[in-house]
This record gives sequence, C-alpha cells and structure tokens, in this order.
Amino acid sequence: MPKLRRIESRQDGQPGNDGTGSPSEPPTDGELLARAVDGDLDAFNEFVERHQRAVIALCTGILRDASLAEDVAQDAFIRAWKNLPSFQGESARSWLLRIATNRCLDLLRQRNRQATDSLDAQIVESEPRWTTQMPSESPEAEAERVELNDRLEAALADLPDDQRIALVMADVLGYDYLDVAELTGAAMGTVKSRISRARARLRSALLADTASREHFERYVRP
Amino acid sequence: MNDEHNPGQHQTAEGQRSPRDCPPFETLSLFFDGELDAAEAAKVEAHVASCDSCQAVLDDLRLIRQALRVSTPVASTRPFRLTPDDVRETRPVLQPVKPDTSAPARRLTRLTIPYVPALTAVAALLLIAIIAGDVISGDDGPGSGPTPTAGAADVIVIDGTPILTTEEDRDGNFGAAASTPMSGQTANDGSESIESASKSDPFWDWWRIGEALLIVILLGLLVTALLQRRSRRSASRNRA
Repeated sequence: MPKLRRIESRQDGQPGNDGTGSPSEPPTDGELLARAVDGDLDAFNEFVERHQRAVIALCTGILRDASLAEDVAQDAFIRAWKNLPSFQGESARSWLLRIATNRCLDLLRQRNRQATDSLDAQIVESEPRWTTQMPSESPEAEAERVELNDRLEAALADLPDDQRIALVMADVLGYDYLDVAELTGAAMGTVKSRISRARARLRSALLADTASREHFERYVRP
Repeated sequence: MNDEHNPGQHQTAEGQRSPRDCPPFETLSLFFDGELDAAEAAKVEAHVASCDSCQAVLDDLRLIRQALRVSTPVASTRPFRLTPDDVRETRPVLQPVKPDTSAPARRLTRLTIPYVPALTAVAALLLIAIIAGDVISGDDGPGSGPTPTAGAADVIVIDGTPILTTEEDRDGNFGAAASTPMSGQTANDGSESIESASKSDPFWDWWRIGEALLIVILLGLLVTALLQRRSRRSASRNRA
C-alpha cells in the first residue's frame, strides 16, 4: 500500500473522520479543512503544522536549497488556503503535497527561463551542499568532498525537471511509485521510465569508472 | 567491475560475456525499488544472485540513493503559521530572485525579452533600406518625393504641360532654359500655375510618414533594449 495512503489512513481513519468524533480525539484533516473552508485560519494552521515537515522535505529535496524551499513551502500553504474551495474531499495530504510540487515546478521553470535568457542566471543554480559531517577531515579531503558534491549537483541539474523530481521523490523522500504518479500527475509507466532514466544518467555521469565509484563510496559511506 | 550494464548480455566474474540475458536496466531499477510483482521479482533475484554485472548495477543504485540522501540539505524545521495578513496578501510570495529596483526596466524586461533584439534588427534594416533607396534615387528630403526619371530631374506641370526639370531649376532657375518640355509640347510662359507632380502624389506623403514612424519605433526599441540590458545586469548583481 502506498506510503501516503498509509499515513493518510492514520490521520483520516481515526474516529471522528465522519465529523462526529469525540472531543478527546484530534480532528482529522478533513474536519480541519472543512472548518478552514468556513474561514477558520487556526484550523488551517493546525493542518499545516501536521504536514509541514513533509511539504518542506519535498520542496527541499526537489529544489536542493533549504532557504528557497521554505519560501516555496510558505507559498504553497497560502495557495492551499486560497484553493480551499476547490478541495474535493480527496486525500488532504496528497492535495497539499501536489500544490507544493506544482509550486516547485513553477519555480524550476522560472529558473530555466531565466537561465536561457541570461547566462548569468545560471550562477544561482545551486550551491555546494553536503550534509555529511566530517569533523576531522583534512583540507584535501574536504576539497575532494566538495568536488564530489559539485559533480552530483551538476549531474542532478542536468536531468530534466520531471526526471529529477521523480527520482528525488523515490530515492530521497522514499515515496513509492503510486505516490509519485499521484503527486506529479503522471501515468505509472511514465514514472517508472523517468526514475529509471534519471538513475541511468546519474550512473553514467558519476560512476562511469571504478575510481569515481570508489570516491563516492568513501564519502557516502564514511 | 563493469562500468556499463548491457541488457541482454551477462558478465561473469571473469569478465567474459555470455549469451545469457540480463534484465533491462529499468527492470533492475524497479526491482531495486520493490515495484515488481512477486513472480517477476523472484526471477530477477535468482538472476542477480549469479550475475556480477547486475549486482554491480544494484550496488550503483544503492550508492546513488545514499549520495542523494546525504547531499540533500537539511530541511527547515521552523514552524509555519499563516497570519491573516499572509492570506490577505495578493502579491505572490514566490520571488526567488530579488526584485530589480528599476520598475520600468523590470516591466520592459518581462514583456519584451524575446522580441526586442529581433524587432530592433528588423526595424534598423528596414530603415537602412529605405534611406539607401532615397539616396540612390536622389531624393533630398521631405516634400520632394522620388522622381519618375533617373538622376536629379523632376517633373513639373505648367498649365497642364508636364515639363522635365533639372536640379538647377529647383535651386532657383525654375522655368528657365534648363527646363525641357516633354513630348514636344511647349511651355506656356504666361502661366502662374506650377505644381510638382511628386508633391501632389499622396503615396509619397505616406512614404514620408512611414519613414518617420519607423525612426520613432527604432528609437523606442533601442531605448527598450538598453533598459532591458541594464535591468538584467542589475538582476544578476542582486542574485550574486
């Protein structure tokens, strides 16, 4: 069963999902959104609080920039509030994550337009980020790690947006293919193909020879 | 260790390829994610157990996954709470690039980025072509359209008689010896009714207006292109 649905069932499947829950049980997503539709901002904020980690993780994984991800997540929450009337009672979490995914895609398209319009815009593409902490590493080792990180980010940036998003959802966020299909609005066959192609491209860009593979192994599995 | 997985070819531990079929890369990718049905997964698992090449592919997929995970920035944990101001705000929050301080330049950049250079080039070429045409035909300014004959001659009509005149005629010797009646007709010296054929032709009036408009448009496009360039530089500085 898809992970999103499992999570959903834990939240929406609790007593009170039909709107008649006892006061001691926390309200379900559906109840919170129903109150939010009536203008209850506190109820909406409770819904946001419940899912913000997933939304921010999604945006951070796709955009590879924590600060930018915060902005996009905030924007997605505001969009969700404004689109409450269009919420059809589907999975609330998937609905919110879909809005966030679309906002990330909007931003990536905007970046691509700027990049094709001006070579300067490519400077903002990415910064080196490698979260593995290595307190005792030498300057040479640090330089090598940064170089590997740059290669990884460059290879990721070279992927088409749809392939990168599908790969990040599967490999970084741990979503299954059905969730990826639901969040990106793509068919299952398309999702399979995107993930496979993205992996093949990363593999040939990063692990083309034994030396590269050993370098990555050393830093990924310290 | 092999560097490329070739579907349909099996690589043994000794590095020799046998005709035994390996599953395609996509199937291994699905197997890696647990997205194959039980029967197919069992088949792939049995194959992988005896295939160094496929094992290497799966190792690479693991390595890529781990590299992606450790290199992904730590997600922010700050709490989000929308305020009434946030939801009243109509301005889009999504503004990754710092706004340019030059509002007109920004507007122009947004509206005309793909077209300004091309339009400017086309307008400039048109203008050059028109001016070159004027120079070649000897036209010398507004109000005196191109002549129907070659050189610096012009046609005037005196009492209904068309007369070919030269440059000197227009410079002050109008109606003197340099004037040549056309088609053997004789000019009537007593007539005061003199009009230029070119001046009376509305086509050449519109031609002049078109030229003037083209110049204005060209100047506008050049200014737009300059503002746009300045705006881009400013935006780049802001991003940096």
